[in-house]
Amino acid sequence: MGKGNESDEVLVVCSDRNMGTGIAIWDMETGDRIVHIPTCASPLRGLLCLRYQFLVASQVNKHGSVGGGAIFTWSLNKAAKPLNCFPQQPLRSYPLEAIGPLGCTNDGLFLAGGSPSGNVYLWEVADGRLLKTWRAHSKSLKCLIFSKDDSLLISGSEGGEVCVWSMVSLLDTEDLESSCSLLHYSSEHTSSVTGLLTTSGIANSTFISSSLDATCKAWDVVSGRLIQTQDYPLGITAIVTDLAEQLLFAGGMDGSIFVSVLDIGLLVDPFAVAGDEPVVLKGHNGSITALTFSSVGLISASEDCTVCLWDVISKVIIRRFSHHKGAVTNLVVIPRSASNHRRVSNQFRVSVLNKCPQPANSSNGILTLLHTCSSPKDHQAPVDFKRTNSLDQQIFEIEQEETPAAKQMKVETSMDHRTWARRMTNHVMEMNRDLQSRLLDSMRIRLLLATENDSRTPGKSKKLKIESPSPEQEKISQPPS
Amino acid sequence: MATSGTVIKDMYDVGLKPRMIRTLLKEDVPDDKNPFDSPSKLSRIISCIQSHKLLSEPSTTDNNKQIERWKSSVDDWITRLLSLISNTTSTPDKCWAGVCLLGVTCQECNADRFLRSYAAWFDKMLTHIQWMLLVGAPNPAIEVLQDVVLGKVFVKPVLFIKKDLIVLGTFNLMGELVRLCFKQSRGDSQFVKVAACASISDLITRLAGFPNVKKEGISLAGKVIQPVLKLLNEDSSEAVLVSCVSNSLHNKFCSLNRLFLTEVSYVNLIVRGVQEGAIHLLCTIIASFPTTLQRHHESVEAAITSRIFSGKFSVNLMKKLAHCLALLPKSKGDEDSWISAMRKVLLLVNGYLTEIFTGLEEETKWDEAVRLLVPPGEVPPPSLWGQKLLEDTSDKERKRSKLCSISMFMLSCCEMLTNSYPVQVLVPVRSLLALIERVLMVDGSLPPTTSSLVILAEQEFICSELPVLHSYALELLTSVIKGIRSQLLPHAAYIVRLVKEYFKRCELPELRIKVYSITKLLLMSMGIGIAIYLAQEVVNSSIHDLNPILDGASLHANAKSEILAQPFHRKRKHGVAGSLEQLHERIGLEVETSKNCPTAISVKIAALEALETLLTVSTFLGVQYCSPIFLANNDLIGVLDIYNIFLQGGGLRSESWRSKADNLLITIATESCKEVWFSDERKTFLPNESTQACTDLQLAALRALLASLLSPSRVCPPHLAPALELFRKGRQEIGTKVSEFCAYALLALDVLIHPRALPLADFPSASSFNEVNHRFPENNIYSVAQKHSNPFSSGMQDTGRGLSDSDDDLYKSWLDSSKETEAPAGKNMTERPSETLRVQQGENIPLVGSSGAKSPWRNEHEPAAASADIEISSGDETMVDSRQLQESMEQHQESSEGATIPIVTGDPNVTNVDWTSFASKDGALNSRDTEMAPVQAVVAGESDRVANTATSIAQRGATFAIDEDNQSTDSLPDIVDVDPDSD
Repeated sequence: MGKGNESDEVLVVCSDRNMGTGIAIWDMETGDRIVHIPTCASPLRGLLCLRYQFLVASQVNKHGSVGGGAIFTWSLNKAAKPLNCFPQQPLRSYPLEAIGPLGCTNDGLFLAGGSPSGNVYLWEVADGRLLKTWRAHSKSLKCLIFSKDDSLLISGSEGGEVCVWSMVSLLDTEDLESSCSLLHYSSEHTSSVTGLLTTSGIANSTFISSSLDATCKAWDVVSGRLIQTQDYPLGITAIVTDLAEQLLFAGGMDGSIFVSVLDIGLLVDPFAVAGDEPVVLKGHNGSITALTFSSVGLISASEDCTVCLWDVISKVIIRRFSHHKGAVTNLVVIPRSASNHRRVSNQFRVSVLNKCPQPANSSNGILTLLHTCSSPKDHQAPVDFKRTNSLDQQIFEIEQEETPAAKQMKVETSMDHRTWARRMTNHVMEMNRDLQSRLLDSMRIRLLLATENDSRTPGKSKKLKIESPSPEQEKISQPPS
Repeated sequence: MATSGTVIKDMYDVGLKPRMIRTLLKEDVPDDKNPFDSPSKLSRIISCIQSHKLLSEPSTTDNNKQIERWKSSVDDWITRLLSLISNTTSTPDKCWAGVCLLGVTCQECNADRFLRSYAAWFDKMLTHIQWMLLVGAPNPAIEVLQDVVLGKVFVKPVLFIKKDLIVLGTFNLMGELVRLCFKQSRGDSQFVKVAACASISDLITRLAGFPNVKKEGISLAGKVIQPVLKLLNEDSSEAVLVSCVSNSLHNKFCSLNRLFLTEVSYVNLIVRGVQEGAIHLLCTIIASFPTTLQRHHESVEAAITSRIFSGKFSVNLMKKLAHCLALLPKSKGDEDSWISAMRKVLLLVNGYLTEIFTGLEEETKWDEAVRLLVPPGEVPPPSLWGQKLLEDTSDKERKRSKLCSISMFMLSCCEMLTNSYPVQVLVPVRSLLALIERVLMVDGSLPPTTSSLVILAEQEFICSELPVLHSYALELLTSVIKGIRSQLLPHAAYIVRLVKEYFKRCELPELRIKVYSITKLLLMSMGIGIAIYLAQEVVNSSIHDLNPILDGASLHANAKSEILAQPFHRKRKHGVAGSLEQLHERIGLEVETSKNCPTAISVKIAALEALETLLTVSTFLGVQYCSPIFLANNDLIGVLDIYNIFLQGGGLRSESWRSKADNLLITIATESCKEVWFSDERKTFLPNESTQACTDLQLAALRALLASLLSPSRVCPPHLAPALELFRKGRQEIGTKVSEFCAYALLALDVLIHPRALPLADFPSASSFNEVNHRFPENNIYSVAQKHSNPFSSGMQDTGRGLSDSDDDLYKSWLDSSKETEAPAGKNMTERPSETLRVQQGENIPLVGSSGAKSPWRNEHEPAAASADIEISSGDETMVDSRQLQESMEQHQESSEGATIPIVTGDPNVTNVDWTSFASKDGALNSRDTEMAPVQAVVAGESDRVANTATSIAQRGATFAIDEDNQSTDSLPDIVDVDPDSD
């Protein structure tokens, strides 16, 4: 895998022909199939990658099966273990209705699914709770997308309607009557909506819709105003922007891909002419089914069962993959590391998506949360901090000689000094006393000698006795010297 | 000192290091004999070690002598430190120095050495903490003390041994005894203990960095826990001692008692210092080796909570305890321990609140909290950590300590929510939010039903404590938002309602600041979706808080803003912006109706920040108003006006206010810059603080200006030129924040000034573009030589052409005159560029204009002439440039009618006058003629370049310019003849 330095990404493709087709993960450099996941057939826009850890795919409703739909979830971490076969069973959820398009928030916490009947289901991925179901459109849902800040849900239907929903009021469980969660509604498109895109260009405020009525329209998210309409010669089946959001690629029904500069902010002027003939990438024979963008270039899938990787600038196909098992309906680019890297603990988990909304108080409204787990080695970062911190503390202590503890230490030190001094004093005193007694002794001896010798002069000896010892000492010490 | 003989190369010499260590050991580090005179020495030693990396010798195996020497000196260093620490005869200060230095050594020494000897160091340091263990043991000193007090003193033979004590007087004896008592009970000086805690925590932290010694680390950390727990529990054991002794002392000797009490309070202070160290050490252990605590989980939790309940510590220490408690679940690291910890804390807080809020809220709150927290079928525990959840006390002190515990537990909750945790956990969001709402909705008012039950005093007490509670509740809300982030979406509506409701009630500035910051957080985390609901509230509240007139009183008290406000008043009188006065009036009218108390400036900051976030998140309003505009209170008027328009415009998307806002911002920015740059005398008179405020304002104004320039709009920003001027000037204030910001602003504006339509890839054609770029410097001289005439030629070109159409002769005569004047003009320019500019005006215009217009024709239509010379062929490209420039100049001049008309008419006198006026005004920006500014700038720039070119021409010799002229003049008649249809 270290071969192609460019292929840090792998391509996930799936088809909707039958369950046996499954999901294939391709190396983008070589076109080799890295992993094959059986039993999956997703309708258009029915495959998602959550946080690069899970693949979520809605399943096409087989004829003859009972009403309910199915959504399968695979963990990518485990998926990579065996290279070719894929024994891991997906997490199977069976919602009430068949689910067509899926949409997830950018943080992968909420999942929305649209049904052919026009209902939208909103789940919380972590604990699988069905948060809300509501009738969004009268016709089949075609596209679901969240705004870049995850606070709005935009839906497009077969009838060409585009709706903007406020997540906050959608999920407001308590105040049902006042919530008008539908922010905007438009039926400017005359035919089925085929693609929705949010741009992050001008502070999240625009999104683009494409339709089979051969137009792409740019909208203002907040006001719901139609900013711009781009006309094409034929119906558009898929749209995508490049990673820098400078170019808009629109796939047509005949397999051509129209490239135009994305300049929503600039072309507000209604008189501005659309400009030159749009650049067209031609290479597919059938209608474009999916478009996506990788770091290498544009990737397109078509009904002619091929997938092309384009060099957009020179307008050539770099690589062409064929998917023999049927037309590719979904393309997802994920980093290669996602399918290889196994984490020790599965930090983010998914649960089976509930069929019915649960009564709010049964679980006490407790919510599962992916905690702010920064990284596996999350106590490495504070290490340095604490090191300096404790050092600071030491220095602080050194400086703060006024603290009681410091005082105490001083006191104890001086006490020690005092005891030492006392000991020394005692010692000196002792010595002094000793000395004195010796002196006295010697004095006595002298006096005795004197009395013996000079018994005739008692006055002198009296004088001597009265005098202080020190001069006496001197006197006495003088003779030896 | 074998090395003393060798020569040191420089300060990086390896040979220097062992010598330095030895010098340190000899002179600074204390030892048994040398006294340790000043602790400041220690910091010098540490800084010396750290800056020279004295202790981290390279661990090479080859026998490098210098390295060997270094190693041995480090060995000496460590031997000395260990002797300092373990020597019983050394005084506490030396011991302390040793412990501190060993801590530094743990951080600094090389890995091999550390791994070899950390265990030994650890044991040495641990002994200093472990002395503590004596506390629990029967303490002979205490017994003696009791005996003394009870009058049994002289019976005990113990005392007779202590000869000195008898010699001392009774008081002295007692004091000594008490001290002895404490000393024995605690063993070491507290200061040494704190240092030992810190050093051990350094050691453990370092140890945690080595993955291969994890087991050893855990066992080491395990050894620390018991002593640390003892340290934590210390004052309780001491309290027993103190109470027993003081009781018996009480009746006997009053003066003794006093002595004793001072000693006790002193000891308490010290004990806290040690406990802080202990808590720090505990935190380190949890962070480094969380599994160590697994076995001790219960006891540690009990110790921490009992400390929190005791409520005897400083706020900082309490916060540390709360932090520690929040970290505790990490020791197990599973989902259950986190949840159970959270649940316990929430139950406790709710229980305490029930008692404190009795009568102030509905009775059902406790049951509701229990319903949310306790799984159905279970009953809530009656007590947690030895504290009853529900109890009735009327004791105010008890209530106060409960309030304190509530705050700390809430803080702990906050930490638990925001700290990282290895696994996913269930966060009881509902009960957290319910708790927050419960606290926030109590405002001290009595609900009508329960009024009789609560006495007035109680209400007063609670009202006095409520702000703190509210503040912690808001803190908790912040943490909930931070911790749960976008998963909070299902509860967003609830929070929005809560925040809205609280905005209405809340009046205290600190709390409002918090609410604003919560709003900001909400806006940031949930974007447009929530902005839709909160926008109105934020705008209303900000207007409420930013109201300038009502809080005039408070601002006058504030000298800073007053000083700032003054110049603006003055300026306004000068009529800088007429619109501002109108705004003033309008707002005055509007404001009269509302009633408000003065708001603190900090609240305004918060309000503005929240508003800014609102604007950033949702580009309803392109302009972001930068927070610190608040500094000049009159500017608030402007900001306010924008809000007003913003409100009146409905739909939050009015474009009409844009130009007004832009005008206002450029005015403010210009003025604030003038304030800082052009009034030195003001600077000197103002105290430092207000200069700071001035620059803050300037920075804010510039920031707002940049925002207004960058924010998307339909037309090119009208004030780009003066703004650029300001930014350029600002950039020259090197070393200031303003300069940094201006550099950034210029970078950001670069795209606006020179819009880039960059190709998607580096096509071959792009490389030729690069070549052109490379050639630019060479061409510059030439092109500028052409360009210097542009200001006039732009106008004159037309006239020239017109003339050539109507009258060839006249045109020719002009061309002739060009022959005569070209060379001298060049000379003149070298000397006095600005004057020649004026002189040329009258005389040279036709020549310059015609030559400028002509040369491209020649180059285009007569390739033969062009190919004759390389320089000319390169001129081909530049001529196109100059032509474009001419066109742009034409546009400019058309826009500024006053300046162009005379030029177009070709009246030399008028032109002269006008250009002179330009020259005199050069550089001085006046808001009145901002329209002129671009032209002006260009003129200024041109005149500079004229000077440059002229000199360069002179240097290059006449060959270049004059040759050119000769050729052109030679071929001129041909051109005119050959190209009759050139028009």
